[in-house]
Amino acid sequence: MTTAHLLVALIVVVALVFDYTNGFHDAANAIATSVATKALRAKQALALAAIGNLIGAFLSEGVAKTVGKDVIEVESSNAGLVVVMAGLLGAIAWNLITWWKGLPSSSSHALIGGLVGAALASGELVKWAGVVQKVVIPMIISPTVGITGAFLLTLLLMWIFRNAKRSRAGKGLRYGQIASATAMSVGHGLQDAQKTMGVITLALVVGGLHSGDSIPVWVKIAAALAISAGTYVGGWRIMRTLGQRMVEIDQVRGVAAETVASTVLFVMAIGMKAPISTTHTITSSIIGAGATRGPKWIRWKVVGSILTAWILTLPAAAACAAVFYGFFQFLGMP
Amino acid sequence: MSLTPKDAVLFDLYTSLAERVASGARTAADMISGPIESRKEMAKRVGAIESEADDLLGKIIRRVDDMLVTPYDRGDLQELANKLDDAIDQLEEATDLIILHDVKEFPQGTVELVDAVRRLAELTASSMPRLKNLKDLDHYYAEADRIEDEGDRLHRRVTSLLFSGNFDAMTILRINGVIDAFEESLDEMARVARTIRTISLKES
Repeated sequence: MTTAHLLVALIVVVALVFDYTNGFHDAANAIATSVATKALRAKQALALAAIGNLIGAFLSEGVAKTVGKDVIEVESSNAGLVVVMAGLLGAIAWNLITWWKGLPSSSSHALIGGLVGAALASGELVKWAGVVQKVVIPMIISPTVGITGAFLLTLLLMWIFRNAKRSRAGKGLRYGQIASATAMSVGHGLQDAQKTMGVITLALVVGGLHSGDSIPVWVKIAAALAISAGTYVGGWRIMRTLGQRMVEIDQVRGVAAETVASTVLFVMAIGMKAPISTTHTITSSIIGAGATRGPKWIRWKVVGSILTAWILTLPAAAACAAVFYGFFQFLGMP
Repeated sequence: MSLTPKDAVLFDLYTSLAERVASGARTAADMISGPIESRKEMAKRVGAIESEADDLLGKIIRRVDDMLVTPYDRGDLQELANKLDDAIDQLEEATDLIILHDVKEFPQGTVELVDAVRRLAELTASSMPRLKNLKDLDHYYAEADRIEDEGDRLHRRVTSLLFSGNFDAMTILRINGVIDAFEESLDEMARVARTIRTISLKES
């Protein structure tokens, strides 16, 4: 077993752990509203989310390819693998710091920031055009569309259902909610499992174990299983705090928010091949849906935390990754 | 024109309910200040108004419960209707007790107390159409507060006169029940104003 093999194996393991924690963290996003409005019981919702993740992970390769080849370009060598490793560890370190300090963050942004930071520190090439077009711009567009889209869709649904009776429409709406929650879970898998696939494929290519831009099937399966396992396990923990976390969100608003959020996730992943933050997408949609009650119902704190995460995560994760890279150099690694 | 749909039928029901409270209060005020012979007839009228109010309350509660999209918080809307109904229930209790206990004479100030009830009820009814847009309600909150305070003071004065030694024990008990019910009605209407204020604070 060569050093390259060892490094690739390490990256694969670390990336899968990252993927698992992503599922663990974000499980509540997809299903929170359906549980809060009692459309689904917690156990059903979690199973649905895990299956949705799994399906989403196999649906497209666009995001994985973007992460794998449009962010940084490193030469195929052990030195290149160290860069990828430093990038991944930088992202995880920043995620842990934000989790510990209670700062807003996004694992997707951290991953991109980490890769960019490690590449910069090592003097490898950062594909700025790709980063701006496929990461920075979508990162700004997606929450904006989330807020305005959910706001407008909520108003539209309220007018359509203004005379609807709960006794009759409630059942239909319940199915609508299950459908939109499923779409959210699929969108989550579509986005976040693919980010891991992208990193693993990047490591395989740099390590000389894979060529071309296709994603190996075993990588897809591993990433899909890791995220959906994380979702299933993590959801239980998160579910307990759900009652406090969710503000009053009724069925109409829940459906509107989830429909818009999952549409954004799908369009970004399949259409634009852009990795975006699932957390920001769903929270901004919930804010938009809630804002129809008046400006008081906009959770400005959440808006603020999204903005902070926008500004902070990329440079901070990049800095963390650079520190890791410097540490590896200090240890005398290639 | 509002951004979100406002069910016109529902708001009309609230106004009708508030108007029942007002007409009940007017009848009670006439009953207290009018001739003793007509009191039985007046109490019967309040009873009839109260049962109309019950029907309206039922309609509102069922409608709010079954609406998929409520204009305001579901719980606040239910509470508002319940408080309005409580106000007319107290009026019905007061007027019925007058007949049952055969109360002929009241301490000084009772007419003013019931007149405060009437004024707050009329204010509530004339303000209720504004529930739909929640605009220009500040005067209503302030006025409701003021009338409730005035009513509380009157109630204390009437009670102290009642306990001053000029009435025998049985009469005190009979009259006390009546004026307490009037005062409760006033309190319920003040709660109506507070509930509308809560709704308005949440929505504005």
